[in-house]
Amino acid sequence: MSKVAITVENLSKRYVLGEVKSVSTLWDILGTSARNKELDERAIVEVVEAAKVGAPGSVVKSDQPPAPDTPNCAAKSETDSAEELWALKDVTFEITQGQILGIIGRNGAGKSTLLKILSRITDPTEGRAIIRGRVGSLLEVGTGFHPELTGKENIFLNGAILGMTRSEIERRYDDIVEFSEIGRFIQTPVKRYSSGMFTRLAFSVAANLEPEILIIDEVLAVGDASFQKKCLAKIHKLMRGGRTVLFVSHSMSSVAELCNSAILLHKGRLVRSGSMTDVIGAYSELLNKGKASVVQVNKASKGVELKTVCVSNDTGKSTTVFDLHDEVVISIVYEVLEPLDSLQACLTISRNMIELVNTFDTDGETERLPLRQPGTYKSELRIPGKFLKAGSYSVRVSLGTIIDNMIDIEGAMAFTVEEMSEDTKDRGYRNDRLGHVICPGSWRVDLLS
Amino acid sequence: MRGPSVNIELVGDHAAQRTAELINVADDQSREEVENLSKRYVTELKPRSGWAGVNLAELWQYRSLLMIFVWRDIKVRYKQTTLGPLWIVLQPLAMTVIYSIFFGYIARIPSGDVPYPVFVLSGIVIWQFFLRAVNEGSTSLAAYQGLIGKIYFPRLLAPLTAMTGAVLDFVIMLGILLPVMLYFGIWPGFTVLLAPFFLLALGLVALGISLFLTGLDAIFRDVRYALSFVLQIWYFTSPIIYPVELVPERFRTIYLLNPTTPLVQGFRSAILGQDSMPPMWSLAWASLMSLVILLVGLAVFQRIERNIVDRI
Repeated sequence: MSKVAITVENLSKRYVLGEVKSVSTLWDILGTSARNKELDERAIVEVVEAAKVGAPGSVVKSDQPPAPDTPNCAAKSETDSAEELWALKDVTFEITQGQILGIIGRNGAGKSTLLKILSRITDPTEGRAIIRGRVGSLLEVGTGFHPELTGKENIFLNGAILGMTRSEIERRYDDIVEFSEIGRFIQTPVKRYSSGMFTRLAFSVAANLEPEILIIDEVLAVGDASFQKKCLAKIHKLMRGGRTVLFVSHSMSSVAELCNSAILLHKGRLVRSGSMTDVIGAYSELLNKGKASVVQVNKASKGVELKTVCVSNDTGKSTTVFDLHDEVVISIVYEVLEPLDSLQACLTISRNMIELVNTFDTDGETERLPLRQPGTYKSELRIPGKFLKAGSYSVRVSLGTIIDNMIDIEGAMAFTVEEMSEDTKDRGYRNDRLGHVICPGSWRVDLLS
Repeated sequence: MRGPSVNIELVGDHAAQRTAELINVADDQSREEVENLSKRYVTELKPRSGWAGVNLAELWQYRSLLMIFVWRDIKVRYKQTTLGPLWIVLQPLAMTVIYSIFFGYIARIPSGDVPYPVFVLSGIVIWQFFLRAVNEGSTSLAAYQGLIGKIYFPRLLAPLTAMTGAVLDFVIMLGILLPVMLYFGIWPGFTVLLAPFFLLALGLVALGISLFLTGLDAIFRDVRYALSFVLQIWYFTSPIIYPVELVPERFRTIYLLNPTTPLVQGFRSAILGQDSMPPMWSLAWASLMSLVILLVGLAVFQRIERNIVDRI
């Protein structure tokens, strides 16, 4: 069984981030140069996101030469001073029928653009893709759902969007309703549904209409655990039946659990394709490369100078990407310039930019000395494995005495924790559960009467 | 006690094996089906350039979506109204009363051999059809903006849905025109068989204009404001509330060059059995114009549609 479902050849998509003015003539739209002057808000968002996650060079100003190692090259457009962005550049791959392909990469890597082209929402700028079969896409929960229509009418609407006939939809109708667990609410307008019901119906429609190719973007993260399990089982069934699934997610664990192969996109290029472990390895390397695991601070204030902040794993290898099971070691090196009374260090860990996880300070530790003599010191904090949930963390470093705060650096260091090991059966680790740490605890249930 | 338990295990094993076999059979069937369907629906995605044609086969494949879109529009339009589709007939009826008082009774505008109310209502009905088709059609892509950004369907379905809705409204409006005609003692003659031709030609003009404008409207909302103004002028330059005969003879030729003029007049003559068919040359001209407008509109639409997602 090696029938090809999707062939992608040198697929490229260019967006031009110009002034609105430059597209505002009728002739531009009708003229042949129209394709060169696309203005896409979403592309801008992607660029901003790319910049946020620290991918300098993903957009290059027109008047600067593009950096040699930057694939997202920008060049001066012939007609105006707009910036060009190759959201996708020369992507080539093939998917055979019955394959579940994971598409991974950072924000702005081109994943959404690729899915948009494959689901025929937008045209590629160059290259081509051949798709054998009908494509059902679930790019966002409830796309193609109309709030005023009932669940039943929406099922027929979505089937028709796939290009199915009424009888084809009718044949699957009962399965969809049963799978979605919506029951008698199927005759209620979907605007009255809870978000959970909405998600269940949306997934149920997409999966049970059984298109030959199914594109899923990050939707499995919603819904409760038992429904997620059901969705995974359904996807596996689709795969066994020869259907092809494309799956995009930021959660490495769900990609690893679901897919049998993957491609990695970076700045619009395909940088790795192959087996799951291989691609995930390449991805974590990529994430690692973007961040320094040793940060030179060299900031002096009131008799103390913070020199470096460093994160490493328990073997002493410095890294910024950790598995859930890894110990995280954060060390700070600082120089005390004059004798200081009761100097203490404090590390504040935040998860996903805002949520405070914990404050680790040396207050009360034996390390806290009554009087510190001048010299260079290193303080090391060890956070055990299976404590921090998957996510991106930032470290705030403070140094001070009881009466004076000397150094306080927000976001001095960042690292990520990922669920790289496939053993995620213990649902207490799950990312979608509330809370930021994995905390041991034991339950006992007694029957009282 | 050992025996039975072994036995049960065997049964269990057997059942599991049977289930596995059944699943395998089902999977094989499914694989075969998928392979066949995959062969049937092969799509090549590549940059399109130039003036593309219309994929009629694909439009046909999506016919049920068109029906659902139409149904959805109707349902959404009249939700939370008590009178529902009755509003479609109330408006022309009210306009007929007002026009009959001011233009028919006070201003004494002639209406040939039929009473003024019937004369003006037949004009309003056909113009309402045209107006709604152009208005809804030219804003259709913008209305489907949310869907267009997220799923694929032939974009032509958006203006076609608006067009179909206008036709349905027209059929409902006929339901008021006929009783009014009968009330004034006018029985439709055999000329009524010509009416569909005028309707079709006017529909093509409306569709062509919609196709031409809807892509532009999705990008520049100025279009819809300018359009409502232009349609207002067009309304007065077509023989809706007055007969063609009121236009001075020396301007008559120029007046008839407006394709909606002979079409509106022709429709009215056909349905009321009036002896005032527009000259043949003007009908030929209007038919030609309707085809030209449709083709130009279609070409422009196909051109703009392809990257509309990147612009809205």
